[in-house]
Amino acid sequence: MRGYLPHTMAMNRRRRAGEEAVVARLSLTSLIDIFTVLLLFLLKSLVVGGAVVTPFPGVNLPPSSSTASFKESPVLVVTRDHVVVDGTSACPTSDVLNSERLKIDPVEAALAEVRARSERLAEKSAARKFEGKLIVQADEAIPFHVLQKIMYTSQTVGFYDITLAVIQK
Amino acid sequence: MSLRPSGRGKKRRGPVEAEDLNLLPLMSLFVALVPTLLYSAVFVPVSALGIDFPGTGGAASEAPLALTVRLTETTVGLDGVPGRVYAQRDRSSSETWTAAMDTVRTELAELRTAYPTTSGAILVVSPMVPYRDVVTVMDAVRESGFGNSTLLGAAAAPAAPAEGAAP
Repeated sequence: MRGYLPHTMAMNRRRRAGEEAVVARLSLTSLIDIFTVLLLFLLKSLVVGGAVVTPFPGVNLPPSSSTASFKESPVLVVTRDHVVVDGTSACPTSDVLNSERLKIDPVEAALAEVRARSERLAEKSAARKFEGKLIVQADEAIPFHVLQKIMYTSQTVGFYDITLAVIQK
Repeated sequence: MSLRPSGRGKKRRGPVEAEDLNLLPLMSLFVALVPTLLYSAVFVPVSALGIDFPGTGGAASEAPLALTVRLTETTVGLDGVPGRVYAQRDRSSSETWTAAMDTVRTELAELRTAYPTTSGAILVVSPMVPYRDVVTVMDAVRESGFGNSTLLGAAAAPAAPAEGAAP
């Protein structure tokens, strides 16, 4: 690429005949090299098809050999401290752990709100039908008892198709 | 005999300057592609693990072989295979857990050979078992070809029956 330094036109007028113009050449080769490597790296980590799920901050998902992809669904997160439904904290995880009932009321209310929202969207667009799908991101150290209560509660609201989020080994 | 040009008719010129490649279109393409790919790239690969529940039409509920994997805080083992009783292996430490899972995987592979058409397994899990261990067992079941596991919560450990009590 060829470019001229600023004010060179004015300087040229003043320059005597026979004197060479100052030409600055930008070398883009090294930048192209960087971009090529970056492009290859990004192409390798590209996800084609299915919904992209990013782990919730502070949640260590368990490792698994599964490679299946997700379908677009609401996400319920069980961290060590809180149960988060669609980005909003529903209740502390300790409440779920200590509860004697399988159904957890705050989680049920939050999921019912998610379902109502999905159904309102489904009324406007047939493509967004409520299918009862739910993605559960749970910390690997969570006792199964907590997960069992969360899954039971989800089913009472109509989320029967539950998928667990795991980190690929 | 080779005929070489004498070079008499050649005009002497200065050194030929190499033509620069116009890289601007390529740069424009890269500048457009890199943010697009950055947006859709996933640096921590998260995948989906399917589960079945009792009564929701899981494969295990209809299988002739009621293959069951029992996972407690201290043991893991198979159950529900007609005519065969499997030992529940100790998993109280990380070494015994690894060894127990190796044994379970071998047993599952043997069962797969014996029951090639059966799919689905019931996973009975005790309340305080960490979720990580549940996923490890689900992986073992899936990798042996039995597909998704049907999750069941085990009741708290029953008290030992008193001597002389009916079983």
